[in-house]
Formats: sequence, structure tokens, C-alpha cells
Amino acid sequence: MGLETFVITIFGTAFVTISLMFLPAVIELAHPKDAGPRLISDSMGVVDILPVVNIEGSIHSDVRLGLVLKMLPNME
Amino acid sequence: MILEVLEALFVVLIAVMLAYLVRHYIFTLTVLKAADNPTKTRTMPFQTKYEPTVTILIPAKNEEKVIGRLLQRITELTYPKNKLQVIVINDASSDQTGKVVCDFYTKHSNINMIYRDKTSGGKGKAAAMNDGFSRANGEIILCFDADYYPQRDIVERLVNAFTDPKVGAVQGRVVVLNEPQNAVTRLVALERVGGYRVDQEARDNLGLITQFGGTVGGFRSSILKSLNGWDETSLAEDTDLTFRIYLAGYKVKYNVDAQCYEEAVDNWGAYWRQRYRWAKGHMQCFFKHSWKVLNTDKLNAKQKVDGLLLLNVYFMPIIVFVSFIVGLALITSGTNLGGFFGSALWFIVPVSLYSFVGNFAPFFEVGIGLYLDGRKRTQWLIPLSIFTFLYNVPICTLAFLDVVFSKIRGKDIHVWAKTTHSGNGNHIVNNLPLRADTIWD
Amino acid sequence: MGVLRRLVIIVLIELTALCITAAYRWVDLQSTAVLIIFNLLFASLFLKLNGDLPIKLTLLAAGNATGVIWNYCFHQLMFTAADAQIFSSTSLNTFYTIAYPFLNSFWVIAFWAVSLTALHPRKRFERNLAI
Repeated sequence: MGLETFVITIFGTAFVTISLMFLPAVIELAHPKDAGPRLISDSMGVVDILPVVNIEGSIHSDVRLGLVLKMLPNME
Repeated sequence: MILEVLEALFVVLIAVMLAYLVRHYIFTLTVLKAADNPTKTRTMPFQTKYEPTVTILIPAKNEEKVIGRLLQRITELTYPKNKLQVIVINDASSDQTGKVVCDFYTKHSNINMIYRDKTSGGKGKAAAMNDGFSRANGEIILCFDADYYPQRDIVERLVNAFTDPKVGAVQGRVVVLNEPQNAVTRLVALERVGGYRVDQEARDNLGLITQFGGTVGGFRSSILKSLNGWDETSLAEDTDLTFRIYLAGYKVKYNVDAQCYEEAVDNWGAYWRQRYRWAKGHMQCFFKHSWKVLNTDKLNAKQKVDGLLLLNVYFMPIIVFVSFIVGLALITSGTNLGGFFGSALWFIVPVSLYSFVGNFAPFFEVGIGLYLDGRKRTQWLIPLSIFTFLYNVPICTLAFLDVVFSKIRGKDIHVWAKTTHSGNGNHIVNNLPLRADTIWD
Repeated sequence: MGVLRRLVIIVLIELTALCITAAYRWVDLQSTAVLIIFNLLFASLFLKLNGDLPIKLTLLAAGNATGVIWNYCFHQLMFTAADAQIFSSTSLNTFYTIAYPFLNSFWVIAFWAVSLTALHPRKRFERNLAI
């Protein structure tokens, strides 16, 4: 193995490995599926009404969730 | 001889880094255990009858884009209005902040404004808060920065802590509102998760030093008065107050369920300026309080250790960087770092690079915090923490040199670099499933 | 299915142990140290979280396999370079000692972070302080 081959292999491998390791982060930044913000409960009454499992798991349902909330009776 | 010195130095530096890793590992396990036993570990039974008079202080300098949102929210708070005094300290603003506040001041009798002109004002947050405090008549003083957006019942949640007479201050959880904006805000949000979901809660559960963060929190007015308010020479007046509270024999209580949105910095320049101020302020506190923390009889041994580690936090990027240089010198000089334990020690250096500066939360603390919050894809951003850490190395190094030279020169004047808020979270607030009666531009 | 599940779990645990043994036997002590650190991280901060045990053990085994393969390749590269006398063995040894933990930290942390996505989201409940 020559010096050039060695250097190219080393840096090539390191570059590919590092790129692979940061690839998920780049994907999430480019096409965010969980960009937040984290929902904080407005008040105790609101959270008691909602099914509380995995609210943040489907962040796209914000608008739908908002519509549901408007339909529900005011518990306060 | 030089090699021996370098070896000893390397071992000491690695020991410090290992102490932080172990500390945060314990924090992570503590919070995981608490999450599995929520009723057992909740230490604050909610007592609806405790309703002291409360003053909310809001320092504001050129906050026209965000102050209206906060004040509107304050008018929606569930706390009895006749027990709630709000004081906005308009600190020499040159924009429409005063006009926005006046609109609320004229409609709501419990909202007041203090105007500090260019002569008396613009001297930093601590000075503004002291001015506001001098006019406060509440038994409890709460603080909110102008870019914040709290829960409607946040006052009840925060005030409840003061039913314990040993509690001198309280701190709530900060959540980044403009998280989706760009990479900077997303990384800052990760840092907040590590700090508030895991770090603070663990320190509270373990009876260590819980930190007052300067906002979304408050004090007993009588204690604040006995401590002469905020230190106007400190750039980290919140950390300074935290330690003065503990050294006075009281404690800071953390409530992870008292939550408030904040607008995080959204570009690397603003990030630099903000962290530079935090690092400098924190280092000032280190020089001011370390000896007192070691010698006081008001803290137990574990609180002293945690207090010193907390004060040392902004030195960590420098320590990690120096340990890398020293380790490099040792390895290239032929010192055998091989073998099982040597390898493990050297491995601590790169692992420490994946920490979020602010509380030096390692990647696993942030990961578990996100897991507890039910976040999934955000976990993928954790490897990017190495870049924010490396960015903080020059910030903390320059801050350290600044503090040292200031001390040598005998000049303790520090310029307060204010964080600019752009109101980029307003549209997010409008779309949240919260009761937002007013649409903000 | 109970028996099959147990069998899968045992196989995955054995695979993990095999990887650590292989690293010790065919790579070097440093790689073994890295794998042990990785396994400790997984055991304490992943296995106890909310998710299917076979999936968690699969990820653990996959991580160990990745670690062994990566370290073996890197080690072999250094070995080949030493054989070909491109650099002195001292220089290569120095480069290896400096670089390997940094390059290993990339995959350990990224792997652990991405693995968390495979877990079931925690049942969230607001600890709305009981009245």
C-alpha cells in the first residue's frame, strides 16, 4: 500500500463514518418531524380532559387538537 | 520532570471531567427513578388556599416585539387580580416598548410601569430589577423576562413552594417556544431539556443546589430585602442570588410542572454574546462564592460539592480543551496511555465534547430528558452537541481572560450585552392549542 | 412464542458477549474498553426504558457488531500501514492512540441517540399536583 492510498483510505473512511453518524441529524434538520415546541399544559383543567399518552408524539395534530379543545366544555 | 507534571495535570483534569460525568449520570438515574414513582417523589402537595400577594417584575429594554404578548398573557392569569401587582421596568427603551406597556397600563389597574431614562437606566438587568423591587408591595416577588409566555396558572404553581418556610426562592421550567425556527434554536432547546427536565429536577430531588435561573421564578420579598436585592455588579445576578439564598440558610425549590415558554437566541452571533455574558457572570460568581461555599455551615457536604461543581461549570470547556492538549502532548512524547484504564481515561475527553454548556449536561442526560418528554426524532440531533461545545470553548476562554484581567486591573465594570428578541415565537403561540385571545404579529 | 422470544433474547445476549470477546481476541484492549463503555451506557440508560426487549437487545447487538467491525477495520488499516512501512510503527501507534476514541465516540453517541427513537414514547402525564 502506498502513502497516497493509505492517506486517501484513512481520510475517506473517516469522512464516510462521520457523515453517516451525523446523517440522522442532518435529515431531521432538513425535514423536521419533531421540531417542537413542546406543548406545555395551559392549565390543570385542560390536561385532565385530554388523553395524555404521547401528546408530543404527533406534533402535526396541533391544529386538530386545538379544534377538539374548542368543542369541549369549559371545565374551569 | 515536565512529563511528570503533565501526567499529574492530566489526571487531575480527567478526574474533574469524570466527576461531572458521574454527577450527571446520577442525576439521570434519579430522574428516571422519579418518573417511575411520581406520587412518591412529588414533594409539593398543592394547597389552593395559599394566596399571598404577589408582585411580578418584568425588566424590558427594547422589547416592543414581545412585551405585548407577555402582558396579554398576564391579564389571562388565573391568580386573583386583587393580589397580583405587575411592574414593568422600561429600562431606557428607544423603541415602542413604553407605548405597548402604556396600552395595558391604562386598561388594567394592577399593571404598572417604571420608566428609567438614559441617565438612570441601561445599566443592566440587576439594576432594573432593584428599581422594580423598591416599588413592589407583594409578599412574593416573581420575575419574568419580556420574551416569556407562561401557563395561565403559573403563579399558583410557583407560589405554592413558599408554604415551606425554608424555601427562599422558587424556579420553574423553561421551554423554548421558537424551537422549530432553525438549527440554533433547536440546539438551544436540547440544552434546555437537559437543564430543566433532568438537571434541575434531580438536584431538587437530591437536596442539592437548585439554581434560580433569573426568570420563571421568584423569592420571598422579606428574604430578598435582607439580601439587599440583586447585585448590580454581577453579570449572572441569578446565580449570584442562588448562592446568597443558600448561604443565608434557605433553599431554592424547583417545580418542573410550572412551565413557561421563552424565545431562544436564533443566530450564532446572539448565542455568542449571550453565552459570553453568562460565562463571565458565572465565573465572577465562582470567584465570589467558592470560598464561602466551602466554609459555610449552612450547607451539608454534598451541597458543598454540588455547589462547587455548579460554580465551575463554565470552566469546563476550557478544562476539556486543556486536557486534550495535555493528553496529546503526553501521547506524542511516548507516555503509555495504553492499557485498559488508560484507554478509558482518554475516552473521557471525546465523550465530554458531547455536552451542552450551561450546566455541562452530557448527551445521555439530554437524551433521557427528551425521552421523558416523549420526543423521538429530536434525539437525532444529539450528536450535533459537539459543535455547540466546540463553539463554547473560545467563548469561555475569552470570558475567563476578561474576568482575570478585570481583576488584575482592579476594574469590575462589565458591559451588559442585551439579547435582542425578534418576536419569532408569536406565530407559534397563535397556533398552539392554548387560549390565545389576541393574535400577535 | 414465549419460547421463541426467550431464544431470541438469549441469542442476542450471546451475540453481544461474542462481540466483546472478539474485540479482545482479534482487535485490541482499547476497542474492548470502548465496547464495554458502550454496553454499560446501553445497559443503564436504554434497556430499562419503555420498549420491546428483543428490539432493545437487537440494537445492542447491532451496536456491538458495528463497534467490532469498525475497530477491526481501523486496526487492520494501521497494521497494513505498519507492514508497508509508510510510517514508523511509533507514529502509527501515536496516531491510533489519539484518534481511536474520537472516532469511536462518533458512532457510540450517534448510535445510542438514534436507538432511543426505537423506544415507545413514555406515557406522559402532567403531574398536576393533586388537589
